[in-house]
Amino acid sequence: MTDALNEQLSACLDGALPPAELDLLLKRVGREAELRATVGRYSLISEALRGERPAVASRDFASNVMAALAKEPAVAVKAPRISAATLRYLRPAGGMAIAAGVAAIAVFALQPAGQSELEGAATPLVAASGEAGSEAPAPTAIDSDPSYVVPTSTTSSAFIPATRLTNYVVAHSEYSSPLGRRSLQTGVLADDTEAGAPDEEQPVEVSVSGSDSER
Amino acid sequence: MASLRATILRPITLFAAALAALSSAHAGDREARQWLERMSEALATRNYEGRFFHLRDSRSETMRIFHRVDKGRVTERLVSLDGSGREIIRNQSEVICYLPDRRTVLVEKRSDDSTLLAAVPAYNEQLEAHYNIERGPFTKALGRRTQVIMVTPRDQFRYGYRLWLDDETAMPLKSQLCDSNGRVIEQILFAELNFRDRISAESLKPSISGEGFRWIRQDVQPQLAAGQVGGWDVIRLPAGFRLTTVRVQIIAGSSAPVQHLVYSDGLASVSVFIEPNDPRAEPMRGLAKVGAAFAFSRALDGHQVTAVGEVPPVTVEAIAAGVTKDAAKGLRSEGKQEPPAAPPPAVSHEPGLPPPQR
Repeated sequence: MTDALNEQLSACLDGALPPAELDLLLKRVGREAELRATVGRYSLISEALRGERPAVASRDFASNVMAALAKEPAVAVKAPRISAATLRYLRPAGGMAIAAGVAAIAVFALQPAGQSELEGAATPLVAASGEAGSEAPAPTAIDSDPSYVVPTSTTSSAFIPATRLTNYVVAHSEYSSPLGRRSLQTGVLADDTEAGAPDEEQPVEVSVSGSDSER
Repeated sequence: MASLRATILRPITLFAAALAALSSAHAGDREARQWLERMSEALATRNYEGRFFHLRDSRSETMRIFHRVDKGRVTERLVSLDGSGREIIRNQSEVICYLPDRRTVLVEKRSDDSTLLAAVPAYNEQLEAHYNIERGPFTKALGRRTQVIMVTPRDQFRYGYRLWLDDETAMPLKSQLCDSNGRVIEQILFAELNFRDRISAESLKPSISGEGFRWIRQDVQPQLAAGQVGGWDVIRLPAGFRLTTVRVQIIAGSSAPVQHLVYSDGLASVSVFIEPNDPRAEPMRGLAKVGAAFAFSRALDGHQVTAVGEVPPVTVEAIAAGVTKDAAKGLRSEGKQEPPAAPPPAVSHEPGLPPPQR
């Protein structure tokens, strides 16, 4: 997605896009499948913001809406449905709600996908990581703070550079301005998608003898 | 700022300051800077929780944030809601990153807050030497009246911001990280933001136990051999960057203490990490990217040197290239050494050691 497109989407979200541009944007979205999900989410949010209407929790809702939109660019997003449970979840419990109080469930998955399967795979990896730790002074979980789950394994310093870079970025973020820190930390959170992108600058191409299988 | 005055003695900084003074005698937009101060205060003192989009390139990821300030102590939890499921929890003593996709948890010890005060920018006139700070229009964002503030870098060595600050609360409802050409690098776009009287302890706990994950943490205090500290410097810094912090610290995953130098222009910052080569790890070389941050690594004198920051690649490269160890060795005179344009070949000897005949 180009910056121009990003800007357009943003403007669209803010309701500031001229009708002619909106038309073009929606046509383009109709053509390019990969944009649909993103834009669909935008418009759901936008809808929620503008009309304060609830959004529906259907997974393919966004693409349905966008398909409809692509055919009929001038028509606004139709009012989606919402379940009572969703409403309960979304309604601000108190305090001051600014901006939209409701948002698309399709976007805001409550549970990170794939987490359970990761947990299921835990055991073999623990076994694998055991062999690497012979040299390092085992930084064990003897920690003053009792609130954390005691880790079942600790590490040696032989780990992949990507993780090493993450360490640096996190350590650096402590010395960054609040805006910079947020950028750095959201970057760490979003970093996983980066590795596979062919058009990105890849992390330094080194590999460590380590046992990691994540590459 | 005293330290700023000190570095201003450097000719290059002086030149930059003179240039900046010439270009518009930057009184700047005082009101714009006051908006930024208000924003800083709101970010630091409010209890809030919200959801936002993080948009970069063609990707969009939704994230959730919980921010609690209790008697001046900040705890913050950031969660990626789709995609990796990663979380970062930052409290008084630690920053903990849960990376379920890598089955890894990083625990980074925080230093005490007093050393970190320097990280909070002072939105003063000095900053105008490197950034043009001005108000844009009032506009609607997310259904709220917002003041647009533009922080535009004056050169290619730093990024700027476009911020949509809520008229009432000065919270950034939308923010764009931009390069010096105005190109948007990433956006954070709030879909929901709520102020709370209190943020529950429950919401600040990770949703992942981390059990069975590899935990990377170092709790021991750094123990340094005599003479190991210091001696490192960066020559030919990009304009406006000055040394703000020197630390020796334990970085999660590094077996030896790491020397950590922080350079800042008042808003953007770059860390330089210097650690002895680890024979068990392949050295890192060249440019790498984590999110919007760039890192540049090179070998120097038996050490791994890495510059990291929320800055353009040219800046981390220039700073990494300018790292020298001359202060301790007396082999070079500062300012005459041209930083190499490319990372030097891997160091296979110890050029810094005194010759044996001496």
